[in-house]
Amino acid sequence: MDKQTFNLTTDPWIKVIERQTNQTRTVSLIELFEHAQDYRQLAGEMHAQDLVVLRFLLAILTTVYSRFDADDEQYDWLITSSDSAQSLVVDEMADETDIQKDLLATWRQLNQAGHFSAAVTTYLKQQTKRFDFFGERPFYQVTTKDYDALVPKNKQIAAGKGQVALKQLNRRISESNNTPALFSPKAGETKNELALDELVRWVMTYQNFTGVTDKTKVVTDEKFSNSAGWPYRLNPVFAKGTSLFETLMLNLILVNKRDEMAPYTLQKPVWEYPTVSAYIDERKQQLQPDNLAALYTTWSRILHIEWDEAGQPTIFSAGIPIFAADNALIEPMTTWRLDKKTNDYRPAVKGLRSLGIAMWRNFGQYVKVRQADDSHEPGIVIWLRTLKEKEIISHSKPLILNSVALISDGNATSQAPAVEVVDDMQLQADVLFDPESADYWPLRIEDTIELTQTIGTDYYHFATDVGRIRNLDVRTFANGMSAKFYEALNEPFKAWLADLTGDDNREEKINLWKQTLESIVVQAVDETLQISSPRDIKGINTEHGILNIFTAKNRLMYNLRQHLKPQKG
Amino acid sequence: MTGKIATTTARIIKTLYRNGEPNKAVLADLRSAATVTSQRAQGVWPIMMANLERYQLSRDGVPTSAEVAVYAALRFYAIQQQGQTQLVYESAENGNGQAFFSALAQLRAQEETRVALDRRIQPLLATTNPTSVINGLAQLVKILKANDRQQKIDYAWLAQDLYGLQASYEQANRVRLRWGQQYFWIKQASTKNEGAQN
Repeated sequence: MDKQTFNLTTDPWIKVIERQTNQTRTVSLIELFEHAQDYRQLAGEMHAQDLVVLRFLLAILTTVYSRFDADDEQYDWLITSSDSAQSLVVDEMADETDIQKDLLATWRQLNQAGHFSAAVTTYLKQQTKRFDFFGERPFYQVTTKDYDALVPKNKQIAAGKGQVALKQLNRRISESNNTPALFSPKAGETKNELALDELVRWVMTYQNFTGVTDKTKVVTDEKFSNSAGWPYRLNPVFAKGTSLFETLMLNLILVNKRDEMAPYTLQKPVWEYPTVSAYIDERKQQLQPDNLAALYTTWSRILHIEWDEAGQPTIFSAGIPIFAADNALIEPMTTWRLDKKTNDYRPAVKGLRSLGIAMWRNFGQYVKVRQADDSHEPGIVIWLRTLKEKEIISHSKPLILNSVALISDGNATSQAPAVEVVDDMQLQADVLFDPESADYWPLRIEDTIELTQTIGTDYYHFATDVGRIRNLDVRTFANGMSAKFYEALNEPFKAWLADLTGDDNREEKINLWKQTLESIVVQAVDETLQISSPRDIKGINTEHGILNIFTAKNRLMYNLRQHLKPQKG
Repeated sequence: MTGKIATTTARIIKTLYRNGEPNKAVLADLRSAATVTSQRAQGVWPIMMANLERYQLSRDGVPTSAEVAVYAALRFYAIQQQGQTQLVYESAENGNGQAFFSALAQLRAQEETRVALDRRIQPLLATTNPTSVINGLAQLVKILKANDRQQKIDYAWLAQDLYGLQASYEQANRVRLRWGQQYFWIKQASTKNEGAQN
């Protein structure tokens, strides 16, 4: 096969939706950054894939705008130490506050301009060789020589071991050679067919949402087990804007707010490493990256693509060690959970069990409600708060937090993707970061959610009663009914949340929600009563007397009134 | 929402009561004859049939649902009216009357009668057979009367319910649902105990 080229900077491979026409388009990197304001959102095969691409785009932007300001001038506190553009160092004389001010100014100017500056294109053109999918250093892949040098002898490419089929790479199918994926969106042989642009997207996705089906690993001194891809081990959350530009901007974290002393770190995306082995050597130390660009472009495997005569790819994959997720607070796009035993913060990963729990029910994970709470806000929320405090974004700006999670099947030896969950939550900036301390909105919201969950529990008890009357497997039945109930709550609650403003009378708004909540409960109960069978009406005898649909309803209504009535004191 | 059957029944009851001079012969007939086809029920026919619409009357001798419903309600009324000078019927919607099952609910609130009452109500709500429902109701009327002779019950509405009970499965279910709701609707205080125990 002839020497091909597919350069990510100029060849179209990113799918977006145009704002004007609402049509999808496939664009190249340069095109995307030049016209980001004209696109609504990314539109790849899966939301998880879009997330991966978004992180990749952010890695580029973070790299560029941590070196150049909005006028495309290199920051004057950066010194080029040698001839190459990548070997920059921070001037030791520079003041941290100035650095921070400069970075925020860049953000502000970009945001006001409404489009990215030419620095991005310049950077991409400069790095163009690194973005060639077929180049000397193929993008997100390693060459035969590198691959053979890194893996054990018997796993070298000539041996043909350690392959990953396209149908595995395609996360919509995720089929191993062992078990056929019966209900996949593609059938039979076509499972192994991918257009080039799609292949690029899936390769990138695979580096992030890797299962652990493969056995080949790079040679290390210490043994390690192949890990799942990095975002696969998170509960991803990011801010969503009305255009792709806005989305990119809101998530473009330029100032490190975790550490006031070191607001700036040099960015080093994976393609800026001089050689693959240099990158792998660093990864072998299993250190958490200190910059976002490296984090966003974390590889989980070294991939090598062999192209045969007919242009069919054969993909070889070998695992590389990954850093621990504990206390990896550099990662801005996840919620955290405190492990009480070890006192470590761990990403609050969703499991198959918690699928039905909508984002708003975990409100406290996204926003720190009480100072004493041991929760840790996602970095992205901290960043948005900074923007709001510096008055770079307006008070009434609606902020949408979006969560996209690919959830594995929980099988430790495969971790095949089982479900994709997408959810969002919209709040005004003023509500999310309420400056009011006396009547702090997030606290009131959290209380309201707690109340709502209490009612949810009441309803669950009602469902349990109905299950008992019907002599069903109570837990399954009640869980199903309870899930349906929460489903009915999702939309109204999200609407209520989005409708809040900083000037609202808190009590009034909360009462409004209570009313809505009550009517939803009553409606749900009525629906159950309407379809009741003679058995429900007759009921069963329990040690506490008769239990039928009416007594069950009575109890629910009693609890409802008890919990919804205004708090005393 | 007073229906046709309810109106008719109310009219017949008023005719029987004759403003404080009850038609005792007919009331006695009503009490002793369990069904409209019974020999002794013949004394009721002149008043009952005169008040029913033509289409509500039977053509082949098998009583229509309207006839069955109205007769049963009249009989219940007659049982309670015995030994009373005051009219024991009153509409629940436009007057001080009570729905039959609401009156029972009050009885249920008393701890000592609850278990016995529940035991009677439960099969009543479970069955789809109108005859057994009517039989069960007759027992309940007697219990109700034994506890409080004075209360005014909306027998007309009960007739309407009995009519609905025979109409279709869905309608019957709706009637039972309403009865259940009336019967089990109790004061919150007593529910609390129940909830706490479970």
